[in-house]
Amino acid sequence: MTPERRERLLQRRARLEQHIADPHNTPLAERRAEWTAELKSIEAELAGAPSPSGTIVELPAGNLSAKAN
Amino acid sequence: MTASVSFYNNWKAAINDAALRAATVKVTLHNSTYTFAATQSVYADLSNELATANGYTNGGLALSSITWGQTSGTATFDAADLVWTASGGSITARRAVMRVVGTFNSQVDPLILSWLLDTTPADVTATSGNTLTLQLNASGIYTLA
Repeated sequence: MTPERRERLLQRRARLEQHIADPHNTPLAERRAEWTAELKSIEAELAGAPSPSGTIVELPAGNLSAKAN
Repeated sequence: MTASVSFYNNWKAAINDAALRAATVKVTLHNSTYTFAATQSVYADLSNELATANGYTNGGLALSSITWGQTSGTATFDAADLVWTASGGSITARRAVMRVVGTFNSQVDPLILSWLLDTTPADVTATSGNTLTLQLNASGIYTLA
């Protein structure tokens, strides 16, 4: 697992755990099921399950800045 | 005299949560003939999307597991990584484009952003039997700070 992949998984896991724990998201049943499934997959990969193979493109993040104007 | 504006953190999360919680967001792949222009607004403005073949379906792949949260004043939009499996031939693309599906703010299929997949610039290819994974950034798809 590359350092970039590991960092992606750790950050993504934190985000998913936050969303699952947030009571405001309780009505989002469909999204909640997706979050839970993805979290399970991430935990498995961090525990040693194979990472994706083939062609992997690491994408940059974008930023929308709400600067004072 | 100079005036300024500041957002409340809660609204940074709320504005897109309300908008995106019911939305379908898709990512399409385009060949090297497509030229990005920030002035393009909707899906109909795009060109040279890959045809349905070799494991790619024209119209794109839907994001799953979308999250939109706010921490310390920075809101982050994110989702699960995107994966196509090439079958019967290669999938070759130069750019990926993200859009909302449906009518949104009176626009049909508005565009969100585009990634150049290799800034050389060059195509990326997944050969038959292999996957093409768009690994989203550890910081998410985009942030609003």
